[in-house]
Order: sequence, then C-alpha cells, then structure tokens
Amino acid sequence: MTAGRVTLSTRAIERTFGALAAEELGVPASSSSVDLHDERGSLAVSVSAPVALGRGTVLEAAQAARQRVLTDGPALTGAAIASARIRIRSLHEAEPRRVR
Amino acid sequence: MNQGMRRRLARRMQHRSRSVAVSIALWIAALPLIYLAVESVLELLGASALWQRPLQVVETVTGTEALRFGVAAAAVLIAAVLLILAFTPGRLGRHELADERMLVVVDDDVLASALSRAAAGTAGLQRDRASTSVGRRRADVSLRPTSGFAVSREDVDRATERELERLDVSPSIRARSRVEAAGVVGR
Repeated sequence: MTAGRVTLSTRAIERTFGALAAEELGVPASSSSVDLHDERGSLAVSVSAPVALGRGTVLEAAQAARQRVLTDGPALTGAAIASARIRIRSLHEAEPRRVR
Repeated sequence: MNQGMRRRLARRMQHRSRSVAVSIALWIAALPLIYLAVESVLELLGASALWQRPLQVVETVTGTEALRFGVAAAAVLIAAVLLILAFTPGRLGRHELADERMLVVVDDDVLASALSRAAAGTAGLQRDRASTSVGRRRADVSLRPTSGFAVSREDVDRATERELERLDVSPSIRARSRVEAAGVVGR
C-alpha cells in the first residue's frame, strides 16, 4: 500500500465546476454557485450563475457552459459526472463595471 | 500449554457454557419435590398441611382438568427449551487468532472493524463508510462510495483477503465486498 492519499474537498470540486461554467458564461467565477448531488455513484452537478450579454444567445452560452463542465470537470477533478444542469440566474453586462 | 489444553480453552471461549441452563433445570425439578417433602414431614408430625396432604396434592393436580393441562404444557415448553439449549452448539460469535505463544480469541465485532478499516483504507473512504458483518465462515463488507469516485471491488477484495491472511483466523473466513450503487457527496 502506498502511504498517503490525495483527496479533493467537496468545496474545491464545487468551485472548479463553478469557475468552468462562469468562464463560458463570461462572468466572474465568484458569481456562480454549485450544488452537487449523488446520481448512482456519480455526481449530478447543478450550476447557478448569471450570464454576460453579447456572447451569442443566452441559450448558446448556457449550452457551452454545460459542455465545458461535462468535459473539463472530470479531467480536472477526476470525478465522474453523470449530469450537469446550468441555471441562468440573471443577465450581466459584458464588461462588469469596476467598483472603486 | 499443550495442544489439547489449548484446543479445549479455545472451545470454551467460543461457546456458551450450559451451566446456567443446567442449574435452572435442576431448580425447576427440585422445587416440587422439596414442597412434597415438606408436606410429608408435616403429615408425619401430624401437623396441618400447608396446602394439602401429599397424596391429595397429586390427586388435585391430575384430577383438575385445567391444572393437568397447564402442568403438561409447561413441561413440554421447558423440555423444548432445554433440548434446544442442549443440542445447539451455542456459539458466541468469536474467532481464534493464530499466535504461537498465546491463545487469542476475539469477538467478531473486532474482526468486522478490522476488515472495515482495511476496506475503507484501500478505497480511500472514511472509516464510517464501510460496514462489515462477520459470520462463522464469511464476512460481508459493504462500502458507500464518494459520488464521482469509483471504488474498485477487486482492490477492496484483495485488501480484506490480505487482512484475513495476516490475522489467520480460525475457523477461516472468506470476505466478500459490495459497493453500494448510491454514493455520498463529499468525504
């Protein structure tokens, strides 16, 4: 038996999926929130995030985000994903205004 | 400690003693006889009986319908219980571990815990996600995986097999593992 073990915390996995989806939606990673559920031993991911305007249609952006989570999620975390759901919460301007 | 003594001691620790059953049975048999003896002495002394004179007691018990059947039913019940106690092995759910210098007998709970630990460690799960039940000849290990991270049954089987080999229990146990379909999020 090899000594030691690497484990990812649930929080780390959630933030990874959130960041992947947010990138495709053009919004900051911190604006997304992720829920994980069990689906017969694999993960059911649901991401809730706003979408930035001006990147094709909202539906396309959501679809791209979903695809991104499904392909890059397992590659990055090693977790098997059974399904991914994207919920668009609100619309943001493409360049979020800087708050000083 | 010679081999015969060792075997006898191991057997003692793995089986229930029948002494309690024996002493209860003896008391059940003795109490009516003690009562009859007391009544007989009272009769001989010419004193008045506690309940009835000795021969009358027998007559009353056999003569009254309800009492007769009651006594018979009680006798059948007690007999059945005693027969079961006498003929079942009365195993205590323990196994013997191989040790050169000592006689080591452990509760099956201890073995179950050891197998759970080996299985969970191999699968990369917390201890509480593995549960094991140990019988006389086999152990069933059941694992609750973390969602998204598959558990290899072969690895778990190998680990539990190795653990059992290390402990060298007798009677020998075969472990079988099962990974539950539903996982748990997080660890």
